[in-house]
Amino acid sequence: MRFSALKVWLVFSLIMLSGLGYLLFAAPSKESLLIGQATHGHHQIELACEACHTTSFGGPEILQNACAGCHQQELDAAHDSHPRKKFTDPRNAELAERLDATKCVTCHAEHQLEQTRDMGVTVAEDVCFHCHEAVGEHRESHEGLSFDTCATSGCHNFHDNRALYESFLVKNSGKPWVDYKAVLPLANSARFLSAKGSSGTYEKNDHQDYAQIKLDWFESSHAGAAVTCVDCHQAAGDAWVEQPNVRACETCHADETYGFVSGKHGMRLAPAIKEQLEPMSPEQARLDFKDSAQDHQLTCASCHDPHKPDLQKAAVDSCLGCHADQHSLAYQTSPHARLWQAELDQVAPENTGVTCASCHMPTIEHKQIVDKETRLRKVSIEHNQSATLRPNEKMIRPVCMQCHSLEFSIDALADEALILNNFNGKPSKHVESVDWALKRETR
Amino acid sequence: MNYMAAQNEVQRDSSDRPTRVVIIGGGPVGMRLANDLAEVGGKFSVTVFSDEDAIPYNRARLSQLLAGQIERQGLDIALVETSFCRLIHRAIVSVDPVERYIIDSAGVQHQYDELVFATGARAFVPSIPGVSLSGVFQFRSLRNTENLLARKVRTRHVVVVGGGLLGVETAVAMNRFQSRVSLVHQSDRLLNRQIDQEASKRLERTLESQGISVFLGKGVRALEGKDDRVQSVRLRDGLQIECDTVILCCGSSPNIEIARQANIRVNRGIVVTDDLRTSAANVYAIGECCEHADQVYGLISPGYDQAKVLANRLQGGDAVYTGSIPQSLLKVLDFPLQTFGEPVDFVRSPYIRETVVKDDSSYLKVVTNQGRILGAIGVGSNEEFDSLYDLYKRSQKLSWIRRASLRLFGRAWPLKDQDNPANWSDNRMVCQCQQVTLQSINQALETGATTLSCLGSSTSAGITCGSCQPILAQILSQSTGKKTVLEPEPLFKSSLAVSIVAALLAVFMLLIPGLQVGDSITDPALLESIWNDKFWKQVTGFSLLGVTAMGLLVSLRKRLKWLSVGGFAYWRFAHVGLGALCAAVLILHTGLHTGENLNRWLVLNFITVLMLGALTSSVIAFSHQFVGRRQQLVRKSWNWLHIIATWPLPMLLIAHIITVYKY
Repeated sequence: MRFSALKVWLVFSLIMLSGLGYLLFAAPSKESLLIGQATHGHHQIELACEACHTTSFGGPEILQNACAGCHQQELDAAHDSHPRKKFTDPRNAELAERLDATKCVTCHAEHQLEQTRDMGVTVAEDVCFHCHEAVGEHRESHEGLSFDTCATSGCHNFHDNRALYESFLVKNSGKPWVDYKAVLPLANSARFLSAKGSSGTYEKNDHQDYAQIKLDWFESSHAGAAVTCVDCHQAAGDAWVEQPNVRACETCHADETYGFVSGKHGMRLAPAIKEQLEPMSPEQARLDFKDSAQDHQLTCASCHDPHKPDLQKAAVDSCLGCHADQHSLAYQTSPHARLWQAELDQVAPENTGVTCASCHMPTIEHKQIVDKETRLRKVSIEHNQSATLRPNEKMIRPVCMQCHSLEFSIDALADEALILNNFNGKPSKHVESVDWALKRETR
Repeated sequence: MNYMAAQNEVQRDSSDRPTRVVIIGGGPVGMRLANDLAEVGGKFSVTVFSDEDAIPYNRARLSQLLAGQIERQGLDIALVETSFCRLIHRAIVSVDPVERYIIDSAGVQHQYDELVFATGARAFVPSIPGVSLSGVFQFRSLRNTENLLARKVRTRHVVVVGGGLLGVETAVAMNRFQSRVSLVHQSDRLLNRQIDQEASKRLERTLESQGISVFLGKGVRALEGKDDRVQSVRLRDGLQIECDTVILCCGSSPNIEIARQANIRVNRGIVVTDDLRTSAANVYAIGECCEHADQVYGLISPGYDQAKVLANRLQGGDAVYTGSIPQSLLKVLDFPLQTFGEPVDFVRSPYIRETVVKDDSSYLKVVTNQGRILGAIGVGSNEEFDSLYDLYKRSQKLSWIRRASLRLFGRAWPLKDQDNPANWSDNRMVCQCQQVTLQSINQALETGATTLSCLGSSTSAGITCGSCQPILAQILSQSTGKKTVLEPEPLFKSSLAVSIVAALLAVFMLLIPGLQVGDSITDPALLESIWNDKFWKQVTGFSLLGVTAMGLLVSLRKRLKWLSVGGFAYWRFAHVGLGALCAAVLILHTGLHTGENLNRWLVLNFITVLMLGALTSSVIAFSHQFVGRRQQLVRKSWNWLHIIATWPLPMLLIAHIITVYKY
């Protein structure tokens, strides 16, 4: 033999080993290690491996802690009806045996897009059967119902059942389908913010180029609150930042920013993501977007021009600047849009129009009193536009029922065709939950 | 004189008179032409003039005579002595190409119809002080050789100046136990016209191992001596080598003086055209004295080529001489060195590729320009050198595949005559598993082995993996003269069946889309509880690892002697079975999902290995139907594909396991 076989094999092996070593430990992108695409909820951050896989070679608790890190607060707020403690309770050991609901990944396995169903569920839809097999015995109305209808009919939700308590159903039944005099609450949270550490001066960069910006600023609420150039552009220190990022806004608008980074618009900028990710842009998303908007990036300033904050623009135009799915495109011809147009035309009172933001970034009345004299409560805007969509029954209480009856809301949200044409018409589906609740009540 | 001229006129008029060809020079080239013409018979009357007294001899082999490897008679060139051909031992003093006669050293005038210069060359003597001292020799002619042979007995230290082909041969030839030989060469490598640095290094090592000191990159400034006797050689860098004999081997210069005096056009040599004509009518030149296309060849084979062309021309043919391939062969030394073309000092171009194959005992370098061979150097026994030379002579290209094959396997042509075991050398390994050489097999044959099983039991060849059995069968049938029928491998039918199963499973894996989770927990989908269950996923995963590891044992069985328990065929059957099992467990583990990214590579690698394994096994199952090297090669190449495909598998597996537990 003229060549050394051993050498050839050795070189061959070394090349492969170093290639693998590079992919495993040194490659800037971990894409080659991805075992499958992440669900719609996590695909934006699927290459920020350490966000969930926080420690190498950890046990299942590592992943569970990662899930809880982002989602636990929300679950607590929703009074999770299947909390972890229910299954760690020894009395329920038998139930936990059937379905290990102490771990999120039992039902929400990641990187298995081809098996992922609605709400990121990777088990069969009739999973309730494991424990609630005998529900028909106690409730006449549920007898003979198949277990894959528990959630799909808009009755039950594994975690968040606030809109669907039986007493709530009974209490809110029998109202007219729409309250024509309804007025949406007006957000007031920004009004009570103070400009933290405001320098009170905008003279730092008084240059000709900034003349128009200065004029705009004078008319803005930022000027009213004495928030000046340096408060945003030099928030972090002495260096002038041309385009302040989310962190600059967060200084004052902490709640709004928290909402923003909790939803799909801003999750790539969430503090839990240690990797430096670029802000989200439509080209990376899985919905339909305008071609012209593909390269836009999503930060606070994408919807709110910082020099002339315009809530009317942010309510509809900013959304439709990018979103081009069927539901979004149908908005302009919807009854909701007509109300909004009337408000814009000043033929209808303020806050009677229904915008994109009215439903997806609803105004939330808090218990917190912000003005002791008038006992005014804080009303803020939920900037996590995804919060009311997982599942959409979560929209019933804070959004739909501001104007509509409970029955109408449930039916409308169960009608996919109606959602696609942006509620142009009446629901063709009927969910019997209220009927059953009333029937049981009257007995 | 007038009489002769008149006679000439008379004779030229008669058409049946033979053409008078006069050849000046009785060296090997001139003699070759004379003999070629003489063989034709009555058409030519050939006269050869030689200025040496000896019978014509082959100058190219003088170094072998000096080395004592051949006898004087071995050099003789027999002249076909006919009435049409004669040899005259006289020098020529002048030529008259107008009147067509020559005058020899005895003053005799010879008329000619065609005159051929084959005057050759003489040793080039450099113009350095001391070349005329006694003890300074040239080495060109038989007389020189005789002087050197006499000198060889007495000398204590010889310095050979010039490390060309002749210099190296001379140094070796002069090397005896009592005398020291030093070789001084101007260039930084020996044989710098023919070989490269690497080959030169090898040659230098060989020379030094024989006790010859080699001084490279050193020019000679002067030969120094006392009382008209040479005593030392002074080099340009001041080094002084004590010696009693100096042999100048500094190349040659063509003998062109007579031609120049006759107003024939000369440059470095006598200038000839493609039909070997000089500037004078009916005058030709061949051999070392001629210059064709600005090229003066200092070797013998171009002279022979020219003689052949000229012989054809003189007979009225239309052969043309288009130049020769410089080809050389180092004689004398037990160091087979051959070159052809221009393997060194070629014009650089971006398309030039040098393909080198080397090991401790041999070295082969081919220089190609876009596949066209420019030249080659071969040291040691090179199976491919002659084939490359053939290709070069036929101006055929050496494709990149051949070059790659040459570089990787040392062979550009895997299948050819050498595939016949009858042509193999004794120490060639026939059975790689048990390291059995052809020699041991031949010994076994001599002691009466007549069947494959006899051979197996006496030499243990062919009983491990059996892949050399076709060769053994070929050797047996050549030795016994009977057709040897191979026994089918044990279990070949079962192996075939199992490998078909494995292949089918692998195809399923590839073609059937991944299984889905059932729509109801009360009615789980097929295999869901295995591939979609964390516990069983690990069970199947580690089973797969185990099965793969066990499969790899077959490779060890081939290489570790202590593992040779049980016939290899049974091991192979187990291996094939493990392959099928592996495919089945793979399906359980993945649920027919091919995965993404690294996982996909792993699954595809598994499938490739399984498919190639199944194919290899099928080839082996049918291999008893064919005998000989070709069959063995087919079998081997499938096996190699299978092995090469397996190579990434362990590493991908490790990476898979790491990532699964890391994340």
